[in-house]
Formats: sequence, C-alpha cells, structure tokens
Amino acid sequence: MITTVLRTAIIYFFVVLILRMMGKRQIGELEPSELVVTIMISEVAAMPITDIGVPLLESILAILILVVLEIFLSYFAYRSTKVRTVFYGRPSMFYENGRLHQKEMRRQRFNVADLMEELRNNGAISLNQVEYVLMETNGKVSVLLESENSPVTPADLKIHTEPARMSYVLIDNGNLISGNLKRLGLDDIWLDKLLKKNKLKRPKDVFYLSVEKDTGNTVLIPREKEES
Amino acid sequence: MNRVVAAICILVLCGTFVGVHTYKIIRLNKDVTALCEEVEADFQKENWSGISGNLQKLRERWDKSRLWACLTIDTKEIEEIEISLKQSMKYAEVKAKPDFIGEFTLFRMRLEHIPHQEGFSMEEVL
Repeated sequence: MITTVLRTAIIYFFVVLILRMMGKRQIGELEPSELVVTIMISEVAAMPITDIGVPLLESILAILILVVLEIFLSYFAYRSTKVRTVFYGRPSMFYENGRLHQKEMRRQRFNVADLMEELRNNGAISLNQVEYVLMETNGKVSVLLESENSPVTPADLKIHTEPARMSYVLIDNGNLISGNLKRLGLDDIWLDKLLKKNKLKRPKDVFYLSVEKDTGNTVLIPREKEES
Repeated sequence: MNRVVAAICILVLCGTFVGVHTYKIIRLNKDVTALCEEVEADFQKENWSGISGNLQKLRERWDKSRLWACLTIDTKEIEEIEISLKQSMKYAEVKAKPDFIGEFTLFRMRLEHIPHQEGFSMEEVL
C-alpha cells in the first residue's frame, strides 16, 4: 500500500513537471500529435500506479521519450511549414465570400447542423452575416462576421482611447514579488513609504498590491486579520 | 530553444541509462551462462557439492545485478527467477535429480529471457 502511495505521488509530480515542460500550448489547445501524447502519457503514467509489478522507471522512461519526441516535433513544426502541414494539417475553409465549400465540409465530416451551431455560438444566425467560416488545425471553428455585423469598436466611432496598461502584482497574499518591483523600477524605500501611507508595517500586512505600468496607479488591499 | 536543449539533455540521459542498463544485463547474462554451464557439467558427473557451490555463486552474481534488473523488469518475473533458483538449491541439497534438472532448466530459461527482452530484436519490437 505504501508503494502505491509513493508511486502515485512520484508520478503525479513527474507528470505535472513534464506537462509544464511541454509548454502552455499543450495545456490550452490540443493539436493531433499533442492529443496523442496526452492520452499516451495518462495511460503510461497510470500503469505503475495500478500495477505495482510494473517498474516505475520503465514508465518514466516511456513518458520522457514521448515528451522529447513532442518537443522535437513542435520545434521542427515551428521551423518548417512542410513539417507543420504533415503533422498538424492546414485550416479548412468552409465558407468564404458567400461560397460554401461543401467538398471540404464533407472531407471534415462537418455538417450543416454543426455549421449553424458554430454560427450561433459566434452571434450570427445566418450565413449572410458571416464572411468566413474555417476549421483551425486544432479542430476549433473560427467564424469571422461580416464587417456590418461585427461589434462596434471605439475605432469605428472614432473615439480616442488610452492604450491598455499592464498591471503588475507586487504583493500576493503577504508575499512580496521582488521581480515585479524591479521590473517597474521601484525599490523597497518606495514600498515602505507606500505601506506607511496606508498605516501598514510590512508586506505581510498586505493581501494584494498592484501597480500599473507608466501611470503608477496602485491598488492596495490590506490583509484581513485571521479569526482565532 | 531552452526546451529543445532540455529535451536533448533528457534524450542523452535516457540513451546513457539504456546503454548502461543493457551492458549490465548482457554482463549478467554472460556470467550466468558460464555458471549454468558449469552446473550442467557437474550434473552430468553427479557432483552435487559442485552444483551447490555453483548455485551459491549464481545467487551471489544475481544479487549483484538484482537492482539493475528490477529497474526495468516486472516484479513477477524477478520473483519467478528467485523462486526457481531457491527451489533448484533445495533440490540440489536433497539430490533430487529429475526435480533439480527440471527446475534448473526453467531458471536458466527465465534468466536468459531477460537480455532477449531488454535487448533489441525485431521480434520483440513487433
């Protein structure tokens, strides 16, 4: 029983680290090769947990090889269009400038009901309202609305807007994030002054502190006292 | 790029591990085969003390490489090998000729299966 517990913990941390190494893309959206790797990793990782006769190292080795292959494949796909096309495919155009590509829809087994569902999901009720409908390589369908049916933007109304500014968190639940402090060109003296101004002694008394780049606007939320 | 470098490092480490492991298993197989041949020669001469001595040497040699074998071989297979060896030792002790040769042949087959399984062969791959 202890073996199972230990093996589960080892495999858990190992798979988390491995998925982290594979990058954010693999976690967010799955391309065919990434889906295969994810399924295979979950299968291989479960083997030594459910059957303690299976050596742990054998599964770890298999997972490492899968991840290495996936990293190499994504690296070559990034460098070469040909590799990308072979392993990840190309987007499929279903609808373009008033023309429905029925052959492509048939090839992707994408029926009219699916098309209508995607239109509705994107705020359109008819093909008249859209310019393009295409299926991305990860299977997600993108619907580009016709310009007259697209939501109005400040640019359409010729309204001048301020550029979006990045806000950096400096204190997260009492923990000072020194990297962000440096990134903003601020120092401990500035922080001490800010804390004193808010009648606080140290970063531990702050639950949340963020500073907006360029404007220097701060948001400070003191930490609530824990009930004993 | 960092990820690719890390992947290359992992690949090199995996390759090194596989290489060392294969070498250890091949060495084990070589030593064990030599000892098994001696046991069989002793068996022909019905030299039971020689058989017991060589079986003891086999046990020591196996214990030396046990950890390497355990890293990639199923616990069940390891247990089967050890049970076979123990039984062979017991049969040799009581000089049970037919039982000994049966069990010892099984032990040898099980042990020889390891390098076959760990090494590269098209049959295993397919």
